[in-house]
Amino acid sequence: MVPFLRKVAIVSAGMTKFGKHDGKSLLDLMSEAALEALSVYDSLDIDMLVGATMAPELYENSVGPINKLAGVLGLEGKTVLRVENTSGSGGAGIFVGYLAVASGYADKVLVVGGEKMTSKSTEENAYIISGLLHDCERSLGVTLPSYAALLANWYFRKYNPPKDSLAHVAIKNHYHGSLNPKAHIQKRITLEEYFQSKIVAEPLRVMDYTPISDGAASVLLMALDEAYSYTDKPVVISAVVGKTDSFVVHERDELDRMNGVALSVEKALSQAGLRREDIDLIELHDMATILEIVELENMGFFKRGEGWRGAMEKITWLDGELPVNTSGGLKSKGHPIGATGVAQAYEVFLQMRREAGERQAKKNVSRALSMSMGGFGQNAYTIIYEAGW
Amino acid sequence: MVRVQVCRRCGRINLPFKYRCKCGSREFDYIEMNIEGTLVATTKIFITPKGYPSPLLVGLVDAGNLKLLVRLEEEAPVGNVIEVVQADGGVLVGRPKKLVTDGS
Ligand SMILES: [Zn+2]
Repeated sequence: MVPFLRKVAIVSAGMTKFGKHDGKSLLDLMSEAALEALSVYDSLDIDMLVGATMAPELYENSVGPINKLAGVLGLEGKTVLRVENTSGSGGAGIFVGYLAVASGYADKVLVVGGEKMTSKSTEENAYIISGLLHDCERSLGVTLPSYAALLANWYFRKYNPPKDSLAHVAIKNHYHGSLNPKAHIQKRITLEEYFQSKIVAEPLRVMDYTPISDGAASVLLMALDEAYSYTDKPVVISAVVGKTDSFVVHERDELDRMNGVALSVEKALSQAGLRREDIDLIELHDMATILEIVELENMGFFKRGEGWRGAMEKITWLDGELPVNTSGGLKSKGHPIGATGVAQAYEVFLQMRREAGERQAKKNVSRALSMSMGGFGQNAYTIIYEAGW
Repeated sequence: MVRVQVCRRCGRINLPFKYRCKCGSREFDYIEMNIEGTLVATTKIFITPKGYPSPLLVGLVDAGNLKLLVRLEEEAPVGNVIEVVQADGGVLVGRPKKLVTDGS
């Protein structure tokens, strides 16, 4: 906790089902998630709305999406803005909402993240998402999925983990997702199905990657003192820290070094006054299976070259010592870009309050961490949560 | 040959170019350099963006004081020496030099 800041807590949260929502616009989806968080308290008067979304300009030819959202939510005379950090927009949105409450600017802030992606084809999505890379990378024909493949190629040569270590990340996250009624793909997969899936970029397969999804998520933030008037179980946000890495990936010291991720986790833990051993549960950015492994290493929860042990040795399963992506992660829950970082907070909120239903972590979750990153770790936001009861 | 940017203060080689170096300097020299390095990671992309051939070979080349992501002209194993050249539009292309066998 930074001394001059007020304590901030999540009081309620909302999320649409992730998946293909034909006939629903980004505005519809973000409104649905917003109303779920707001409906807990009738006619609640919020001070501020923060909306996180990456590219409605390209997906829906829509600009000013959060002003539109404020309009349909009847928010007039409020502070309203949009926050964008590509695939980490949600984490950045929570950062802004957190600072607004912590600084005393606002008492009640609603943060909503969302993306409407499935109205475009896979090819069009690849084109839109490749727009977040530097031109020198994009002109080669490289996409984010191919960076993950390069990293996997490098990781396997350097550390020689078991051949099926990526498959186990996919199997775990699909198992978790199969228990999450809001996940895009609520289906378990087998080792055979994993190895039968098509190669996207060697050595990664379709089953290594997140699907393309529509969806939105929300959290309602309040000053902690006030939060107790609305819930006896507020989830306190102890720190939110954003840190960048080199923008161009080939400038990094080594392919598996994600300095933005490492720094944001390190500083967030130190602001919260916590150690890694204190963290009971993690939601992270598994756009591809290899990223779950490498992020866990860069966060310092596993030694370099050993992150694969998490899924294979059942440490990161929901009944393990350190559950990771109990929501199903991006892999199975889906990744409507702007929604993802906020959906991570939604999952933590449910897990801490033991409201996660069939996918409830076995252990008690009193402190958790989520990491929402843009692109290939170019801009990472880490959030630390603690039970406020 | 590849045109690179060299920072006058810290000597860092930048490609792509920057307006401000990591060290804070804004003064650079621009030179043509022969770049040869080792292929440290590679992938064959089957699902490529619109307008690109499939499969597409790319690799990360480590030239010591500079690392570059390149499009590979032909398949080469990790460890192979790669010469980097600049094609039309500045696209970096990697030409595998004498082929060495993987792991030798
Ligand atoms: Zn410099």
